[in-house]
Amino acid sequence: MEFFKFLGWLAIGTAVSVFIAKLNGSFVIDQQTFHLLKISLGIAIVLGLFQLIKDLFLQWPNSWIILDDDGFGGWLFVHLMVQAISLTRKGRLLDPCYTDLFHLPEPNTQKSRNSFFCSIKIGQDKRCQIIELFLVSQRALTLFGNDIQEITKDTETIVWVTSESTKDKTDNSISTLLKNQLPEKLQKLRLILIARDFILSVSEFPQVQAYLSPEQIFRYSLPLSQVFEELQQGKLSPEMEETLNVLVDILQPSIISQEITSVSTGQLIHQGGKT
Amino acid sequence: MKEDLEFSRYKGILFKILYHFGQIPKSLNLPLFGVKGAGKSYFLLSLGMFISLPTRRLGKPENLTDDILNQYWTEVLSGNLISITQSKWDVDLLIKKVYSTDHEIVVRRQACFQIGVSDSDHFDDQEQPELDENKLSTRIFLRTNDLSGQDFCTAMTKLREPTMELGGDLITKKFIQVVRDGDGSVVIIDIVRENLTVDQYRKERTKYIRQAFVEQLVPVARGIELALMNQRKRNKRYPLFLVFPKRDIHGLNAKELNELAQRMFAMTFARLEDKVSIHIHSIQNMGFEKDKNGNPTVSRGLGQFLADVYSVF
Repeated sequence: MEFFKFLGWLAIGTAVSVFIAKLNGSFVIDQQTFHLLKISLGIAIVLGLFQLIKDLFLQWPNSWIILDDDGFGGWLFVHLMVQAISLTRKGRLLDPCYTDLFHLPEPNTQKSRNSFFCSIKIGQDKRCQIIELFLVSQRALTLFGNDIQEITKDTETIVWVTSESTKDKTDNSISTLLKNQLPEKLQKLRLILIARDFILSVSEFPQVQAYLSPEQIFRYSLPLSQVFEELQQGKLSPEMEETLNVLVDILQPSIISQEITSVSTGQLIHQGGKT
Repeated sequence: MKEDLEFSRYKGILFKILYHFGQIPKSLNLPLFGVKGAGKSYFLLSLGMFISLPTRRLGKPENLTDDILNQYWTEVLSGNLISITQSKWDVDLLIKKVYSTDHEIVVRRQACFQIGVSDSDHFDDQEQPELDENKLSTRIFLRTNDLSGQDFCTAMTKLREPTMELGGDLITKKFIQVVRDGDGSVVIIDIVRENLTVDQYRKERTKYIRQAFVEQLVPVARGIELALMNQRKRNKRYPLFLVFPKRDIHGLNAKELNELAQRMFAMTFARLEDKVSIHIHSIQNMGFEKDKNGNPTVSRGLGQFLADVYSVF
């Protein structure tokens, strides 16, 4: 499609040159040919413009918000995803100031407890999607709950890393976040629940169900520390690899549209990487 | 320090002009980076000795007095670690010849890395026999600004914050200048940080590799990012030579090290994939292993490193 962009620019350049030459009187052309030229250049400009709008639309960032109960799982999840997409070359980090935060062969417990933004680019060429990841620390959620609630309004996906012992608290916290959301926004929202040792049931989150339908809730089991360790050593177990691939694929635009279709028919239930 | 930097910069420009008019050999400036104690100076010393061996005659050190060379070489022969150089020497190596077999190997290896084929024949790091007369002629000045490991780590710590002005103080300014004057970079990564025997190391290799990367990954990754951001020739792929010394202890060849580096530097490599050409070398410096006659002159991978530099530029 680069051709259309090229054609658009060429047409604009030619049109400007022709009109300047015509204004100067140095370019003589009969009326019919001039109309034909105008129509051709117009079509080329429209095609170029169409392509430009399409590119801009594809570059529009998608927003994910990541939270956890223990102040560490969220960071581990983000690190794992960034590491996995980089390793498989399915995407890349866009921010250059990542080295201190992520680039460690071992988890950095101290730095992981801060909130931060980072952007990743998923997919290749024209099918790419920019995703803004916003990791929210427990401290930030406590102190700036209202602000986080506002940010959530522009978020497409909420990821919450939880555990069996804290699931009630998680249910309460998520429902607080969703409380003042507009119904049309809620319909488009996805919730990804990650537990370390098992797959949670949707029925364990009654408060959340008041806002989201079961089809909007995706549940996975991922022992994050273990997967992180395995990924660094390049020895992911097939089961973990499958789960991680599903999670990475969710980030990709082609999979998103496929999922929306499947979810609407209610056929897709995620359980630990099995669809 | 400022005068030295300015002088070396103008000297570099002058050499480029003279080369352009065919007056002098091709001059390549390859800054050498690595954390403190990674083995940058020892690598240079080893490379200098390697090209100077009477049986090889691949080139000679230019800007290095015999006295310094002999002093450090004596330390190697006596089995000691060389004393801290702290950027006391800038080395100019005049490379006159490279082995054609080495050249073929590195070209094939690079092709293998690009298409993801793992043909083990192309990952042998053995040196070519000294009697191999099949050599390619060249005249390359390999210039290295040996930025000390301490300075490198200090610069990387200072440049951690995104708001930190690039080149705001002498050390970071030196780093930026060295990068800008360079045609690529050589990064020495030591994955054997402790004084261990082969058996001790290989028994828990994963653990030691991880420990080594905990110390080196962040400064090296940041150094690579900053080198890319500050290079002059932005339209060209930036040649990045990752050199892993102590081949005799870690026992990993270029292919295995490539897999390791791809995992450890996954984020950096994915980000810079279109901008850099990565060249992995597993080397063994001269001096630590003895040949059949008991002479500590066996090295591995140095000839291929030179051939790779020759093929890239």
